Amino acid sequence: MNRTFRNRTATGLSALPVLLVIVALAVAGFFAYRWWTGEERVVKKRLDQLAEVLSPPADGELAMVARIAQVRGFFAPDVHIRFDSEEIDSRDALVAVLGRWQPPKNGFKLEFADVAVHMVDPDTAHVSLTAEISNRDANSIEPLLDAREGTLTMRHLDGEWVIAAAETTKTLLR
Amino acid sequence: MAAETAYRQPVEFIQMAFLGSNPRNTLVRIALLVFSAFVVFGLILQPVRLQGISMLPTYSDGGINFANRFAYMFHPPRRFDIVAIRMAGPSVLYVKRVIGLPGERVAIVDGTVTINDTPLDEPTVLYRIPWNMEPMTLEADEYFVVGDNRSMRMDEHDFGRATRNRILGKLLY
Repeated sequence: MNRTFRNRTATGLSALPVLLVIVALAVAGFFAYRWWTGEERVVKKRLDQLAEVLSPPADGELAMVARIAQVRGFFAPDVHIRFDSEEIDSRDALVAVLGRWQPPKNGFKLEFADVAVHMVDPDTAHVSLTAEISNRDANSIEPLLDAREGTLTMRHLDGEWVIAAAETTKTLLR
Repeated sequence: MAAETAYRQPVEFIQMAFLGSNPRNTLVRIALLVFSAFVVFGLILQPVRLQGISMLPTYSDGGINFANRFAYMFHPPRRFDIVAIRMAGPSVLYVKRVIGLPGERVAIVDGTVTINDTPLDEPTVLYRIPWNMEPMTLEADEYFVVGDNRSMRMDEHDFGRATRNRILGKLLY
């Protein structure tokens, strides 16, 4: 009798951890699958590509001209951008501004940190992020860093996620 | 047999070197260490790498510090605390000193900060140029934060009101 009881107990104890591990793996697998196939990941990847395109290399004035053509693909034709008090109302206007702009001689690196994607519907996403620009001072070679908080509205157009609206947010208000 | 012995010895040596004589205990210790590091540095003390010159001379560029996320669990931020302020998330932070508390009227007149029209004594500010800022009254959840380096041009220095929910924690040292 005792022996049977012990066996059952032993079987029960060994089965429970196995079951828990299987459940944990299934839950982890479910979330990993959702993350991997989710649009949030696609939006983040798209923003990483944009950051790379908008990061001019040192002495890359010519390279920047080529990049401007690529930039078009990341914005909706009717994009609305508000950067502090300045506003841009279309993609053509944005490309014109970028065309006139001279990047620093040392180049810089743009990165997006703390990217949070909120899907409003299957074709619209709201994104909050911090844009970090790092480069080096032309004279002292000291590292320089600037960061801006911003929000984006992204739309799924012709199979690609594009920026429909962008706005910088003041972290510290005056 | 000889070859097998020769192969086994380095394996045993590596096992002894990395896992000790009791691998199970060692693995448990490693797991505990990883868990503790995750709890301490992920949830309590957030590592901060200081960049920029806005907190000179208190902090110089390139220093390492920690933001204590539990510092304001039992009391609100106090005047002269150095705090970490989050932007869109906790990866990029401002490090500033709290000089104005909720409800206070803050102004800057020729480089001197006034709180409710009384000049504030700031021993940590060594050099200053005459900044001027119109008076502003802070809301119930707002703190006025600014860096110690007032020898910078005012438009190159990020400072102003930060809401309580943006203050991530107090710098450790």
